[in-house]
Amino acid sequence: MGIEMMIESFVNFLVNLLLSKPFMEMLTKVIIFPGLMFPLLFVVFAVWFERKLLAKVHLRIGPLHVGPGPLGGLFQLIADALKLLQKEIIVPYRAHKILYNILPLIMPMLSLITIAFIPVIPFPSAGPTNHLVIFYTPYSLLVVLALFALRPFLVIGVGWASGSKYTTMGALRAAYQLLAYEVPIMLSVASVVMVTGSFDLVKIVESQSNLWFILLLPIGFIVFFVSMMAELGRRPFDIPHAEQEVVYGWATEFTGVHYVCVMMAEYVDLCVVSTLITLLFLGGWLGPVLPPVVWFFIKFGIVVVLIIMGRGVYPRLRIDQLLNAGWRILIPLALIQIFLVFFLAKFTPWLLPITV
Amino acid sequence: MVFTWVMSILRPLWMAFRHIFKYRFTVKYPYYALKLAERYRGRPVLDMEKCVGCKVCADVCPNKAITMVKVGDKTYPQFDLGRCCFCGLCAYFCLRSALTMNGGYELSDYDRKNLIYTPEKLVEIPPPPVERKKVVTVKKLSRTVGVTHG
Repeated sequence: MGIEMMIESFVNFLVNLLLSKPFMEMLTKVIIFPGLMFPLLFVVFAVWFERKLLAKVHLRIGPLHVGPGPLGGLFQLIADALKLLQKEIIVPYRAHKILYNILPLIMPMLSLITIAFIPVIPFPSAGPTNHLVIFYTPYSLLVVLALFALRPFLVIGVGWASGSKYTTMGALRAAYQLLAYEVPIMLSVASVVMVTGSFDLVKIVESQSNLWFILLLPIGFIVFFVSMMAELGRRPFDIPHAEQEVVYGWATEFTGVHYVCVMMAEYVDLCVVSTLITLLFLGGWLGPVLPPVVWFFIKFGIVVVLIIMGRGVYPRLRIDQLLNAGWRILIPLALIQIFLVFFLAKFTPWLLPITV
Repeated sequence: MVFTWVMSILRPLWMAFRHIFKYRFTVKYPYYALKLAERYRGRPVLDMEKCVGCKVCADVCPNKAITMVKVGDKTYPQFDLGRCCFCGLCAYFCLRSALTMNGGYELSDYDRKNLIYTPEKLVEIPPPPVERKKVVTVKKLSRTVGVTHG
């Protein structure tokens, strides 16, 4: 009798849960749109798109076979991932066994957590804000940047734990690179925060309803874009894993599952960074005529293309060149932007959106 | 100075964007084939009725790729295409024009022994790949400059 009652109450509980609107909304948010499904589908699409786009830049054809018609090669990544998941996990003799096995699995988690704090489009919902965001907090920008700042430490840990000279060199390079880009990111974001008076990404986007910040703060946009590319480790700044110098940098020793995780983390980061640039400087989902989702994806796509193109066009910087660029060019430019914001507030205050 | 510096960053990007919408030089080979050149030679083909076994081809071959073998009561040339340099001298010097060079170019094989072409095998003329596939030509292939970029 007791068991039947328990089962019945449990079933009732489940039915009520599935029928309740807030729960289903949260489930959709977590699993489908801003949550799990969107970045993972983005990874599959982005890898294919990157290969195809770079092939076009090089006047080649690119991946061709696995996939339907003009989308040839789209499922190549899925096939590769399935292959890699079957592979043996080889732990090097000198590796720190526990860290070597755990850290690469944490990396995609850390990247995916970041998405929980990013509002994507307006959507009537039961939460504290009418936007598609998994966890709403008025300090979302700060949280996202803090989570991003955690990533290099994982990289350094991975490089040390692999116990190989190439991984160690890659990790040290990542540490040096951190010095170059972290300060400009914070300073360029500071100008945005000064203009809007809020760390809330929703407010930052809504304050761009008259003028996108790429027009109001162009220098800040350039600094943020370049240093975010350095943060991602995309081609002109892929010093941590430079294939010709250190075999694959800090990810040299990874096989199978670990490699899949590391690569997935990189591409999820690409997704997060593109979203962040879209929200901070390109006006997010704002735009005339078309629905907000379409505007968001148009801007998002343009940013992704720009970031990917760097790999087809520019040669890799040396580490000292990157540090020079970071400290002698990007930081002064970001400071100039901050002073320009002061001048704007003094002389043309009607330009600045104040949403305090 | 700043202008040239900025342009040095923007110009390659602009060039790459232009390349996206351009024609491509790669040909999807197994499905498409490039049009052959006018005087393309290919592998030698033997006409066994015309051949008298005079051994001129074997004497003139620079790589000693030709050996004379007996088939029935006559001798015919046998080609080791692994050694052949496809120069066409054998066909050029053939007194009865029994040898011609029009055998196509898809000769790769998994075993080196299969590259030794006996007279019976030399007779067969495989249809050249160009006829079996869709023939394409690379667009804008300039005659004077060759393949032009950018």
